[in-house]
Amino acid sequence: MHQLSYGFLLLRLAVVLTLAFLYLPLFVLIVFSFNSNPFTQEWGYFTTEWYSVLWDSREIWDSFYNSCKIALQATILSVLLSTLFVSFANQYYKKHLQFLFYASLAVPEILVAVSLLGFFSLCFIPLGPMTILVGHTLLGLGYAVPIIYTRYQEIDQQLILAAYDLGASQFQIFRTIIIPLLFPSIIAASLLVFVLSLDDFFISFFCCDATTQTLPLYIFSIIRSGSTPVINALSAVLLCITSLAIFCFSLLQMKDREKR
Amino acid sequence: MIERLKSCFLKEMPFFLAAPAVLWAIILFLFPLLCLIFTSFIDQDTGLFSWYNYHHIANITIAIIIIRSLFYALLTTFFTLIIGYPIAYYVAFYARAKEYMLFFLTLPFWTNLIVLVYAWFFLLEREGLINFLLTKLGLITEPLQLAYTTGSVILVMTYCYIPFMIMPLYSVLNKFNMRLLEASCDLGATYFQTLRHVIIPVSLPGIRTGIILVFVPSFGEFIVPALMGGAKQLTVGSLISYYFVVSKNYAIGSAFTILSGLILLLTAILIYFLITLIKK
Amino acid sequence: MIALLMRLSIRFLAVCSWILIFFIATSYQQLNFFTQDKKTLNILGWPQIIDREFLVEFENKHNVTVHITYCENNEEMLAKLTVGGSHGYDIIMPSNFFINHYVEHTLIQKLDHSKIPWLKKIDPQILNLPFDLNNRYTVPCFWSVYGIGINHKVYKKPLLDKSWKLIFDNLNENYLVGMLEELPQTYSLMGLYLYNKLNNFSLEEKRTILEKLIEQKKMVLAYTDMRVEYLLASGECPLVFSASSDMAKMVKLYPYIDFFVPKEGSFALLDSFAITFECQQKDLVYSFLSYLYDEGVLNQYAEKFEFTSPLKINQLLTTISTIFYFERIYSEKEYEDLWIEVKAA
Repeated sequence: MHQLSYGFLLLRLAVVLTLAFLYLPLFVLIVFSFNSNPFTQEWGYFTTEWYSVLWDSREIWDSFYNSCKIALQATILSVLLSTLFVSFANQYYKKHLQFLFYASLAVPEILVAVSLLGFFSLCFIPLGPMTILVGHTLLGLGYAVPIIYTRYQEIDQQLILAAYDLGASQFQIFRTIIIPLLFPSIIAASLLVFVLSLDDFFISFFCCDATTQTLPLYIFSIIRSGSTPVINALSAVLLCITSLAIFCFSLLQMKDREKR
Repeated sequence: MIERLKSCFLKEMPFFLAAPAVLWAIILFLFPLLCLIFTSFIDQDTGLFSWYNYHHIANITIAIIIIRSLFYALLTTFFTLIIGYPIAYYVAFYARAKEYMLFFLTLPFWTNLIVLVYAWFFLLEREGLINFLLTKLGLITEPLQLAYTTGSVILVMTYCYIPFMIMPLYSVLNKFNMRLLEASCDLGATYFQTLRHVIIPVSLPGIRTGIILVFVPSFGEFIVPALMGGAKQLTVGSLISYYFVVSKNYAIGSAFTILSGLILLLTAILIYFLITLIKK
Repeated sequence: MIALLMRLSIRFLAVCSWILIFFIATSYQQLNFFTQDKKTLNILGWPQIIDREFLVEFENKHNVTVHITYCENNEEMLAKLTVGGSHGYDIIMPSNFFINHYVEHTLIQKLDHSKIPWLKKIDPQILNLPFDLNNRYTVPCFWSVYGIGINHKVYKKPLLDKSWKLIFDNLNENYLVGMLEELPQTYSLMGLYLYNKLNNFSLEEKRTILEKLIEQKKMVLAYTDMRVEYLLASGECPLVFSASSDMAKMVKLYPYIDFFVPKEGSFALLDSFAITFECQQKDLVYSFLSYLYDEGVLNQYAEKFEFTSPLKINQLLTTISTIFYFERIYSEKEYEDLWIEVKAA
């Protein structure tokens, strides 16, 4: 292996600098969440008062509750639909309709959001939490289907054939063979879609009405009106939650790959 | 007869179960896109088919906006490539706990996009960290105007899209056949020759995917120009959100969206083919 | 052959049933809306003026649920009221320049002054204004005037000339200002500054105003909706264009931040309560309004959201001589093209 010493050092330096670049804003964000000074960036004194304001704030809890509700529903819906699709669709359809789900990711999200908005107004569907849910599920499908399908393709077809030979119906096979084997990827996909839906901004921004407030929308409106470090505190908390979820997701994927 | 019907129904049950996913994508993705195209051709006042909307937006101002977005997207793609390639290279070839490294590299992006942009304000503002450090070190006397500039917009956009570049590059470089390196070493190539003639060409598919994954979304970006750019420069995304959310002018909005979408598609295809040509 | 037809028709039925389920699910909200038993009071309002926090007492006393729908701008308010059939809104909060539109289209109804004896508790300076003489239709709620905010720590020179020139025309002095996103108001103010009149601009004058706005862009740091006061406080800009209601917080907190209305005059914005034409629960509405005004709950909101309550004498008003009430020069569609021209330059 090529290991030219100064070239390698340069590479290492580049990596370290990039990691610093990636984490610096987050570090600053968290540090300033303990700043007592609300509007300027001069350091006042160390305080956790913003975290207690965060804990007491009714609006933040409301929008967090909204976000979680929609995220949970979107996760259940998209994982359910993708599992059903992957398990029951005709092989022909699966191969050729896959691009349909990738396409919603390939297109800039603003295009998806805007066309959904046009669709809703055309069909006189009132905007609200339901429409946001619909949009998030669409995105979720785009992530869930590839994950679950990849795992499905690795299921040993002999098992299924054997089950058929033993006289099982299609639903029994689904319940006893496919679901347990797909289970890790289902969990992984759920985690991913949940985090995505929680953080999603574009679809929520375009497809919401004035009363629904999800967490990203709330943060956006607060930032636009010149926020207090409560937003820093909120971001720090969100960072912990989502990194935990993604850590579990990565662990699951790694374990899954090791098993095979 | 009823028995036959029942058995037919049961036979079609898989279809019934698998259909919603596909229907969802078709009705909520393809059909609305068609509706959008349809709306762009409708004149708002008369409700008839007309090219009015496209005529309305066929002017220099709109062209400048689209070119500006293309420019931002290309710059972002360029910088993510420059920053992302060494990282992906390092993680793929040299790092030991690769999965963990990858996890830490992509972790910042699982937070909210808006929060990340907001965090950059703490660094770039006049009383922000960077100005503070530079003044402390005595390098500058007056704080620099770092935020609300085009440079800061590109910087933050690069920051937001790096993982989209790192992932495909990593996945290609990870599957790199080490024997090729050994072979080129045996044939007496220097490091840089190997890099140029072996590693980069083999990783071109990854570069291509990464470029497309960064270029396409960054074209429609509107949060970063609105927040970090001070809403001074209009990009495609900002104008689309203005048409659809603020002025609710769906007709012209859809015309503009379709037009910019087409231009994006053409540019993306162009880039794709350029790189494919370089491969040969 | 029959088998194939049966298969296709069953599949078709399956697809249709899923589509039906989808539409029922998404319209569930609307259906739910119509089958509510409990009385509701529906308000269409602005976000930083009123919310549900202090209404619990009212709700319990009259056994009613108050629903507030928030809007971002007046066009959205109008759209929510008119498009798509009756939504059952009882109270709306139009801005002053939209009131005659609502009156012309009979969307709001006259107030019964015998039911609002507390009207005299409101500061007389915001009553009986030209766009609603004798307050036939509206009760004023939220007042704000546009002006210039200044950070004396950053703008170190003495303030000699309190004029719009400081943010509209001072290109030779090297500073950047923060601006609001509201083009109609900015446009009219530029017209006021350049030509000293409020309307009846000739085409050439309109063109000059637009060009001046584009030229002014060079000294703009950022256009924001509500973040101007933060820009000022954090020291990013020495001067910002903002509204009094937003600056109140900053002026109180920091001694070096000030707000003034330039000598040429400025525009004031007044949001008021109005009863919709379709409202069937007028008594409930009057009790709600008296709950807000007579019992002083509005003061609690004013304190929470930091705007000046109409029930308290507004000293700021008395010190300003030239306040005009904002009227639009262009139609909304024309503003759209203007906005794009200014922003894209």
